[in-house]
Amino acid sequence: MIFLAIQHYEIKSKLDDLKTTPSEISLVINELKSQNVRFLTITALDQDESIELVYHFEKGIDVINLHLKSLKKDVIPSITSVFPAAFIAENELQDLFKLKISGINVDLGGKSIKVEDSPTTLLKPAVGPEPPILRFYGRCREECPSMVNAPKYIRQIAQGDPIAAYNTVLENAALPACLGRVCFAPCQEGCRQEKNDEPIQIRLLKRYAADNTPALKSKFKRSKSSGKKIAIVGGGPSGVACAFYLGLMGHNVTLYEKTSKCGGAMLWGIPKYRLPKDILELEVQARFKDAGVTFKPNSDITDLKPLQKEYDAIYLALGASGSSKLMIEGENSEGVYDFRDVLRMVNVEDKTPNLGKSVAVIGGGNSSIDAARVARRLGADKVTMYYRRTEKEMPASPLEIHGAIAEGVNFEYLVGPLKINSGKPLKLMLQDMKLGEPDASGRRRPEPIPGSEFTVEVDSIITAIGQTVGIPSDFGVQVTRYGTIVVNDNYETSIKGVYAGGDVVFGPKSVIEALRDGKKVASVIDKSFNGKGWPEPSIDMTEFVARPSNLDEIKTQEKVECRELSLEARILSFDEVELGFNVDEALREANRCWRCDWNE
Amino acid sequence: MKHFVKLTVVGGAIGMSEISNKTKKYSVLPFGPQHPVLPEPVHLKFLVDEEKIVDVLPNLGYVHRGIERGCELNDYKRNIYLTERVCGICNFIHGATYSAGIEKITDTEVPIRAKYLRSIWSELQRLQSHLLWLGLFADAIGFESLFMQIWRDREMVLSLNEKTNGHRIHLETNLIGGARKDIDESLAKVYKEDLSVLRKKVEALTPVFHKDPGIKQKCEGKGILPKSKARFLGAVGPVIRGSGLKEDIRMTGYEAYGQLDFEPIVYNGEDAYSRMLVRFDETLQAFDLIDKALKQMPEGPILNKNTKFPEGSTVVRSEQPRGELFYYLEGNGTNKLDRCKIRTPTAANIPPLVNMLIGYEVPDIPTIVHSIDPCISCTERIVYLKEK
Amino acid sequence: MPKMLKEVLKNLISPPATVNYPFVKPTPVPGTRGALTWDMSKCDQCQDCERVCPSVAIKVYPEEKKVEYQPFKCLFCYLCIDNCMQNAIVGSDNFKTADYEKKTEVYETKQ
Repeated sequence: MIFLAIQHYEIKSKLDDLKTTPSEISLVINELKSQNVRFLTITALDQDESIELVYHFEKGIDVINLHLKSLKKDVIPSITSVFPAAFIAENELQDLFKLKISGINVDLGGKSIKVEDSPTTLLKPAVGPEPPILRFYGRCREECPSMVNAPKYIRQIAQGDPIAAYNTVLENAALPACLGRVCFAPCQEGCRQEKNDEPIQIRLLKRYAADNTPALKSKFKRSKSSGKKIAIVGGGPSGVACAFYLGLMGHNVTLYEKTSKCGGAMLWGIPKYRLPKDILELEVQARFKDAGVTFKPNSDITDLKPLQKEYDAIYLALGASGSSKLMIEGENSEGVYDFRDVLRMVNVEDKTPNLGKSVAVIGGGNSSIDAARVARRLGADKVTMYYRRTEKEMPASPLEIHGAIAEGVNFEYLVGPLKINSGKPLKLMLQDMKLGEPDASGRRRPEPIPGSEFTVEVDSIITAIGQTVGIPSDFGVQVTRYGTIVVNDNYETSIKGVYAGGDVVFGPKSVIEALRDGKKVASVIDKSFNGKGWPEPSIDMTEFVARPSNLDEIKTQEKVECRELSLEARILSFDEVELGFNVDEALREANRCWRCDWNE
Repeated sequence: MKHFVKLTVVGGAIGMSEISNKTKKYSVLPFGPQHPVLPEPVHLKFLVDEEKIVDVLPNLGYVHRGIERGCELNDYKRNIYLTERVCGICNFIHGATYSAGIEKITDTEVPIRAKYLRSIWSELQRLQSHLLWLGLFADAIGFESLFMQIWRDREMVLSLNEKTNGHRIHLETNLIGGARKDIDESLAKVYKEDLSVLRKKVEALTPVFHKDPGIKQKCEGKGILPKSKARFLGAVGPVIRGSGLKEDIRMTGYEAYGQLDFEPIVYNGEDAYSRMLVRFDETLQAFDLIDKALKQMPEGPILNKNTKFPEGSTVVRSEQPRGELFYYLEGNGTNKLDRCKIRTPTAANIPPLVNMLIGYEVPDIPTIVHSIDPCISCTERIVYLKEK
Repeated sequence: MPKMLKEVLKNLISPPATVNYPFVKPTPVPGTRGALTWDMSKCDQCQDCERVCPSVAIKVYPEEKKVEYQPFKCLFCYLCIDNCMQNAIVGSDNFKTADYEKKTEVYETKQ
């Protein structure tokens, strides 16, 4: 029977793998000898208690492997009676594996490797310095406040799969189409190609992935219902993100919003030429549909107690709803506007107020630049921005400053407001400043230079020096002296079961940080109900990520410039300024990436 | 000094002499590991009956370096550089065989131009190795000026290595999936010029090796390995081709040898003299192969990287200057290998060596030991023990 | 032996084939792989060279912006130079000479 079995094995393909046991091995070996094979060598695979030996023979031009498994304490018969050339291999196996092989024709008795009375031994444990298995996330991913997997979705776009890229972003940030237009992109500042001023344009690639996903639908499915009810107060980015993740994890979520539409600061604060409002609405509704969220607009919550009775947990995402005052004389004159009023009129109510021909904007943040550019589109010829410090300390992003300069906005630095005289035209009295000692936040404090006052005449003034936080006092949560809510490390307020996050806790910050807070609170709430939470970012070492193979070419490529509307067309309307990438440009830009997370 | 040794030799020694289950008093002559004639340390215990050799006991293990264990601690891509350090003289072929093994496991296709490049550099290593051996053999016989002259001419190959990639001995131009550097027009011209000068010098030595009566007397009829027993004992390389059998791994057509019309060189003398002639003729054949490959090489890319981690096991063989090289690789889907087993040709040539020495006299030992071209440092990275 | 006589006589009158090192330095061949240095103004501590080095001769400290290199473990295989994307490692033509101790070279970024 054994001989028939061996003949059956021969008919198979080239690398034959036979198996045998210590008792049958001599039959198999004799059969192989009669087929005129040549002995090659013996390999041993150590498995702690047992051992697997592989005998290699050559027949013609093919190699035949014979596997033998046995325990180390059993005796294995030798094959040197048939193949006498095997005595070298078997002596070594006997020495180094502590096996017992019986019947070797030249048996050196365990002294093949070691000399007779040698005091040292070669049987030492194999230790030594381990080569480093370093793998970091990629600096772009580490810089993102929410750890969006930027290297992975750039790779997926380079492979031609924008829908997979969109879903990769959704694992960590709930509104990719909006982020692709408004995010201040700390990932691009962490990109290693930033040294040559050519970072990968990760934000525009995210926008390309969102533009090419039909109906902005995600691939996530809702888990089974858990029976818990959660209320979210506030429909800004933080609230929408928390509702999305909690809904996917199986809870029943109800979202209360004061106005009639969701979006928060993205709705009233960011102009239409940066973020079209229909895309915002489309994406928020798509998230609500994926997660099964009940949306209750036009409900202003002033008291938490009825909500606490009805729901198992509450999340407060109220945002920063107040604005700072200049505290100078004449602030309430006619013609002096608060930036929130101007932006709300233009962005939400679609009105076009007439601000006159010359406008002065006081402030240096992103909101003031938005106000200035909106003023240009409303018909003002001369728009000037006055800021207390220099360009280096301006909190606005460089992209916005470039856009404003290109559209004809003038900048005046080291100037501060002193008094406003009402009348038509308005008279604004300003004075020069110089930089003094650094204050508590590290920025140098501006000090007025006495005797340097001057006056300008303008048609209207827009003040945009900052936002403040204010919540209804009936809520009963503990607040700081600035008005922000006090939370512990788990985003929980002084009332148990009530959580808070976003701008109302940390002050006015960016969209991505609000999205991160929404995701983290969703995870905390789920864990408080004994769930598993939303998965944390982690590294998978068994995933194969290839480095680009033409490294020399890639080092010299230049970045792909995004097409924009021409200057004349920009001033006339509120259409989107950046036109995004098409397929070729996106592929070229994504293939420029150095793949810092390579693992090959 | 006489030692009394009691050996248990079962079933007759390999040399089929008349010792079988008997103990008799013989002198033991230890040979090595340090000896002026030996290039590398190996220990052979000769049982001598007044100048006539009766039996031989080999004992290896003096240069053990633990490379096989090192191949497991390292990334599978850094292992190319570790396996290249197994042997100094034939280092490129070790690296190329390891890369071919990983390419087989991960289903990577090597571009054709890279295959031609690997064949050219393998032949260059073979040329250099045989010239080194010819010099050492001449020195063992006693012909010292020939030794110096051959090694002076061998320097041309080493400077050619330096012009290719910057190092004289370790040509590190292997990558998994192809080659690292290319031979462009100007470098190919340098190759042709230098090799034609070297060829004339080697051809001038043909009458010395083929016809000189001094060399013939020293090695003709010594160390006979009969044709009927050569394959059974496991001989490889020029040892078996000197006994009349046509065995060469290059006939399977790996890398680009299938397109180069390769025919192995066989002599029928069965002694040390015909093995030397096999190696000398292979040196001249290497020049022809390099010329042909440089002419036939097509244009194209030289690198095609692998796209997944190695998983599974495979066996790869290739032809070193000394014989047949054997690699067994096993991977498990991560970036470290499970097992890498290397068997070099000298390990396979030791049983024939033991057989060849029996019946000859003590002054013939250097000639016979040299005739198998021993490279003991290759032999010594034997299996390991993983103790926790 | 008589066939070698021509060669022996020719070698008697030609100059020696060796170079009298260390008094006479041999001419370097262009493309020789010699000693390495780091240009820290371009390095951004990405640790690619550490991952690729076959003999574990490089160690990078990203927080302190420091690179430690052991030239006596180095193989001069130039894989680090091929894989550095900022071109911060520079090779040269002169090979590393012998020394009395095995020192480690430390490269730091100037603040």
